[in-house]
Amino acid sequence: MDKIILSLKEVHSHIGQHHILQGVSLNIIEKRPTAILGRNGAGKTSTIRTIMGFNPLTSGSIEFNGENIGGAKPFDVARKGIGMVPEEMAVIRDLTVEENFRLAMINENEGHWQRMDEIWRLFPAMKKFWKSKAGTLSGGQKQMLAIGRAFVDDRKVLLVDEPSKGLAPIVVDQLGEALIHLREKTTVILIEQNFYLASRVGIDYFILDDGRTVHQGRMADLVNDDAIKHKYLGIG
Amino acid sequence: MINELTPVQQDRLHEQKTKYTNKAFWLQLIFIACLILVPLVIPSFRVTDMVAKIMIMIVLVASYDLILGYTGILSFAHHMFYGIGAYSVALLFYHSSNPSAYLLIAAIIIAVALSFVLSLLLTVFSLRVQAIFFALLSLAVAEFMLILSEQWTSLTKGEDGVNFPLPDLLSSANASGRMVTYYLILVTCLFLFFLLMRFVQSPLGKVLRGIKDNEKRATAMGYKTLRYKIVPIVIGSCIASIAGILYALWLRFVDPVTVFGSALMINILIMVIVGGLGTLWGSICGAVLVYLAQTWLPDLLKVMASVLPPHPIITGLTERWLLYFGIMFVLIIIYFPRGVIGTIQKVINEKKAERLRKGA
Amino acid sequence: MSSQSILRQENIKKNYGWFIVIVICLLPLLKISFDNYITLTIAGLALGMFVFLTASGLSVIFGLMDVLNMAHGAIFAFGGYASYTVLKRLGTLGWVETGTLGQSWASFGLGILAAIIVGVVVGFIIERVIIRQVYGDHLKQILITFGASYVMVEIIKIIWGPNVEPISIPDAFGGSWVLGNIIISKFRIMAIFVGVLVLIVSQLVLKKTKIGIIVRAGVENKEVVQAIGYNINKIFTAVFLVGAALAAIGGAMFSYNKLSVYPMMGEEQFIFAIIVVCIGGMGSIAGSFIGAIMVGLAYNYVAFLLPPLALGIDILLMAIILLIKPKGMMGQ
Repeated sequence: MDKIILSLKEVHSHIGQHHILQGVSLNIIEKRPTAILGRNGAGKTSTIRTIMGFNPLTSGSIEFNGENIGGAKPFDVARKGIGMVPEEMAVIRDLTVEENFRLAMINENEGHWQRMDEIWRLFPAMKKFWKSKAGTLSGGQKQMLAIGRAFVDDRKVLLVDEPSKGLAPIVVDQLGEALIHLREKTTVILIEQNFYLASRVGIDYFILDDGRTVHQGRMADLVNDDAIKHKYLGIG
Repeated sequence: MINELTPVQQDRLHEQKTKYTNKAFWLQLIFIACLILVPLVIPSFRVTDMVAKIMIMIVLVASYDLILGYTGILSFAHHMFYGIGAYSVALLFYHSSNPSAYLLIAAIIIAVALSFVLSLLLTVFSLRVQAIFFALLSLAVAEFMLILSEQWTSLTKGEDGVNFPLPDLLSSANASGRMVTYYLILVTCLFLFFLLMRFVQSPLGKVLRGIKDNEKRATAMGYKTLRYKIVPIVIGSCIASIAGILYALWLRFVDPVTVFGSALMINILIMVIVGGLGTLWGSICGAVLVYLAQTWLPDLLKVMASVLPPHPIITGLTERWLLYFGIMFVLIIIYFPRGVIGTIQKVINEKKAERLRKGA
Repeated sequence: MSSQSILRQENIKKNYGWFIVIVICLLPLLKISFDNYITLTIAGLALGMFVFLTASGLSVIFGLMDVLNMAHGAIFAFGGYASYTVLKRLGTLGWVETGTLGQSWASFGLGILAAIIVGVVVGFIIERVIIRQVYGDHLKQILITFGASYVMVEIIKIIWGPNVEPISIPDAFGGSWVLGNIIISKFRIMAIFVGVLVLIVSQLVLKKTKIGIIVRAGVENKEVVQAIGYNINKIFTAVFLVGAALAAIGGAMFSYNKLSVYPMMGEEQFIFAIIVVCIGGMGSIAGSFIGAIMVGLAYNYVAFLLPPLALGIDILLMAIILLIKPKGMMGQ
């Protein structure tokens, strides 16, 4: 049976006077990779920041695994099993690659290092630069580190925010491969403006505009729907 | 359609029409009249003394408000410029055999020039880096000035301070010397305060407020914010040194701890916050309130001490009035950060907004 | 430019701190006799260590929490006064001036322990009662801790009186070794040891332990640390208390060195701590160490030659280094 693992109902969020989210509703099904799409400023990053608890939840509800997490502190949300790969500055530059990963291993155990093995297979560069400072990595490698680090602790949901930003196509392809592989292990929620990557990884999609959900459905249908793509995403 | 005025224009028109008839204007006039009459009408010298000192403090605090309240720059060295002004007068007159009005002018020039150069150096050095470094550097430099003034005894006569004569016109040797000094202080303070008000309302002043509000936005709009920040700091510092000059003229005695000590700096801070940051009127309010409190709080505490049993801790508690000042300062920052005038302004603005909303 | 010359430039930039220290160390030899020089150097290094203890906590607290605690100097003073009280009591028992070696060490240790306890308590009060109220607002934090520091100085004056109080330190630590014409104070050597020890321990903790990784990560990016799952507030408090403990130890050691305590001791040393933090960079303990050495040495040399200008030389150093590296030597 399809279990809804993360659900947002009419989520509103204000920062000061600004009404940033004006009614976001999403239902994410376990192990069903979902893409969150929309133009710049549509509210995609704000949505995941609100899920994580960095932005305030003014009204509406956020449920994870049946539990209400609206208003919870970020570290609580993380501990409950939601991992986040932020848009920018996701890696700690002053720490080595090893330290970045160990930072993410809360209550270090066997499982962590098993997942570490997988990450090394997906991203060999991580092993090669294990002892180097994260700041010396290339843009693509930093993203690999960020994604790997979010995965190394057992998280049921991975919120990945625009990983392809500023990266060369060949690197984006590599990331895509990795994300596709990770789809089996955890529920991947991918925010992307790169539609090609989003369509490869996601099976379901939600489109945000002006801080609210405006469209949703299966990616297979969206790929062919030029009208919607043009209206909300400005492409096609 | 053309004759319909927007709410903002209506408001402006209203302001202009009532400029000379509204309450605020008359209050200011009455206030100034009172200041003029004080030495003539009130027999007690203590009151005149207090009023003169308060006027000087008002200018000192207002010049600080320019830097902190309007431009948003925290400095712990404001009192240093005050001290520079005071010592310029003190030392020049101390070392001269013939105190004359020209010497006073020389003192003013020296004080302002020194303050100008020093504040410029301070600003240029530390505003290139984070604002916090400016605050810390100013703290260190001010402390250094204190040490210098205490230890460079050949120049400043050290911790004991400097007593000095004044030109005949102002000297207490002749009967009306004090009065003349008082009116000199009154006129200068009014002039400086007026200057500050004009500056704050000028286009330059508005740019500064924009910078304080959001420096990145201002930079994006094309303002070279560093240059704009230099101006209020230098002007404020020079005005502070003039206040110091007035202080020296009134008191005829200058010592390092009073003018270079950090107690003065914390006084300025308390006054500007109690009165209201970013409102020049706040400096008047704050200076008066805090000064009165400082004069009467020790007495109040002594009365309480006489009533309570003579335990050493109780004696300590009632002697150290600075303790209560510090506590009040902390509480005001937490619960009442806008100060008196700031809160009043907020209430007025809210009422105005309500009025506009109802009208529209 | 050849890669070799770029590397050389990088090396110079990384190590110019040590370069400056060496210059500061060698210059005074031109004007001061060798014997005096050794004494001054040791005194300067010791002074640097006391400042290092205060500055290191201040620096990490600012780097991690963006909080500038102007009341840190007050914690320093409380540490000094706590050890003063303990030593006074032990002195009446005869442990201090006339006691055995064991009693000397015990009194020293107890004094430091008392300082740590008082420092942590005072630090806890400051963090909970005062700083929590104004989290996020830099200006309010600076003002409120500035005000709080005055309150604390007054409280010290109430509890212990406003005067300078002499301390007698345990017999085993007083006095000096004499090598020819050179007098080497025993306690100052010990202070230098303690400072170096704190540096080594802190670097080990930061670089080798999990909590060290978390703190270093938090200094760079608080949000990511939270998103990973750490309660950053608890970490803040812990770091604050460690910083407070260090400052208190600094105060205790300083008062042993000066053989006295006085209410303004915290505020005076705080100025040095500020200079060191600016020189060394916010958030870097190693930076504070080098900065503290510079500041302590420079101060002592100039204090010997031209006393009123001693603080001025430190301010000058600060200004120069801020010009070269606006974030401090190892700041981020």
